[in-house]
Amino acid sequence: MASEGLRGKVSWIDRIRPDRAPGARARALFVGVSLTPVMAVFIAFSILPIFAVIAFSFFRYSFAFPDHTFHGWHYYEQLGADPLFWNGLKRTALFVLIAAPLNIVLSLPAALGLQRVARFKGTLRAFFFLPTVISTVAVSLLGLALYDPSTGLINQMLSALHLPIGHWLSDNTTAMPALVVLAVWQDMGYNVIIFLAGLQAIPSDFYEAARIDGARRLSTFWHITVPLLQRTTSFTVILTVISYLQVFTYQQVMLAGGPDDSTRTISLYIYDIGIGTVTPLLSQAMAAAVVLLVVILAITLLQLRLARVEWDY
Amino acid sequence: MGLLTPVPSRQIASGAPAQARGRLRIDPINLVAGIAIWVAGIIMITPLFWMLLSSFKSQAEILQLNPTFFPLHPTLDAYRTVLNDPEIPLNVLFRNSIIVSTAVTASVLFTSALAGYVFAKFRFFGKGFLFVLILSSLMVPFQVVVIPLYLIIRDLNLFNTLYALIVPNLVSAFGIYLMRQFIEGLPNALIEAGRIDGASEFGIYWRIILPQVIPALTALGIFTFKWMWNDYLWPLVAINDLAHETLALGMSQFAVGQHGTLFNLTLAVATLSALPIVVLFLLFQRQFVQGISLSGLKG
Repeated sequence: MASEGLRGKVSWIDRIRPDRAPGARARALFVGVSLTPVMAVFIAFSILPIFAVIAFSFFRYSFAFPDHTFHGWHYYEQLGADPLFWNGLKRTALFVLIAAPLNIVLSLPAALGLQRVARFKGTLRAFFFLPTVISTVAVSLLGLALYDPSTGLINQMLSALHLPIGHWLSDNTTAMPALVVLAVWQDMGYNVIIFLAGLQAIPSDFYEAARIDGARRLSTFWHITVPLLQRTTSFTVILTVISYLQVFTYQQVMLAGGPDDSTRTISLYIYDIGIGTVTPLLSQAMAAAVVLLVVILAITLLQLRLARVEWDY
Repeated sequence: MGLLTPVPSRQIASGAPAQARGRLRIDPINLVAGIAIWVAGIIMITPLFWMLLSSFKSQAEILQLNPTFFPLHPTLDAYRTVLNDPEIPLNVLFRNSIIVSTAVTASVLFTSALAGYVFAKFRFFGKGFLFVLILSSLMVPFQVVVIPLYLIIRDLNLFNTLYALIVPNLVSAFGIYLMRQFIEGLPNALIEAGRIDGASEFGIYWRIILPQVIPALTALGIFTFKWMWNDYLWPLVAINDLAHETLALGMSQFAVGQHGTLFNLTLAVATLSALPIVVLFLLFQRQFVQGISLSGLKG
């Protein structure tokens, strides 16, 4: 009876006929009372804004003109005509294209190395992971100090090694790469942990079998580790690319998009024209946000499709 | 990048069980990989170590021509200066961050477990649709919705209050999803037993389900607290006076102006802001790591 009650439906019928399953009324009440406020907050602050951003990008939404007239594709045309928007897309693409591969290429070997560490594994893992727990604002302050031309650690190290030093953040060709390095340093720890978990999930039988068969290390790596890690890798790539597409804080805190707009990413563009100005272009900013949403969804779907895996173990 | 070849081969060389035996023979590839991972680890921690050390330097030492790595004369001057800065009241910023992060974490833990339980163990009208809504909202980055959210907060007259930072974050789609995954794995017999014993539905949630999901809640709690403590974009949008700023937002002002070049000051602020989170991480390192692996691999 109780089991039927648990699995049984708590539907409108149960409400009308509370005698159908014992306790059905109490369950329906519990579902209604507990879920309604939670869903109300969720819909108001997480779902409504998604519809709003799409809808408002077709209307004039301005504090100065509260009339909200329909403008069709007008704001998208304005967006297309704004070189700073294209610059934002370009700078974001540049950041993602360097940072995401760099992150994966560094974090997978780090996980492989960490997996085999026998002593002080926790300490070493913490070294990789600590930068991820600190706020991006704190890391931005640290980044300004690290890259300082005269007193920063980077140039100190470089000159100690007799390598060329630079004005990393004030040169528009090196500013973005410098932020890439900072970002990858800060958050590769996440991917290290995810890869580590993925590696630990590979049954050791596979390695055992390969060893008995006399497989060489490199071929075991290519024929066992890499294919069995594919699911983890594709997941990691998707998450990394999506998070880098949104990059904002380093660019905003450290350089305010400069020098010469070379670090003005699309997120920074949206913030700058929509909020961080005395004459906000709200509709145009929302149109840019919709473009960012479409790009992110398209990349997610593409990657999910490319990364489809048919097996399990 | 240089690690790429040696480390993988090493990993296979003596699969986990053979590790103890392999220790006797010195395998050159193992040795190189072992050194490489430690060098990499030390490179990872050096900037943070440097941040901590620099915060104990005096202004003169920061600005001197031959920079030092270790402070010559360790001093708390930088901390004294930033804690008494009349323009940026750190104590107010700290208090705001604690209020916002604690309130949101408490609410997210309660609502995620509650809604996660309902989605995992009950059938009701519209369940599939609501759950799809939750999953799809996870795919939408915050940058996309930040402007409409700002407009909503203005319309609700919450702009420039701590409520603006708390209310939109009371419920977490990620939290609901995570808790549902966890609770789905719990045996139904637990709940049935509660019903037979005559527990109320809320009593079952509170006394039977919650104790079972403490590990997941710990991970979710740490992450939520960290996200709220470190969040920058939303406070930047929703707050425009110092009295209501959080630490992450307020301290960004140290990046500009006269503070900007005195790194002992900026690094002291950065260290102060990182301290609570680093302590939390060191206390709960296992849960942190499990949380990432779980949410990571379940996605």
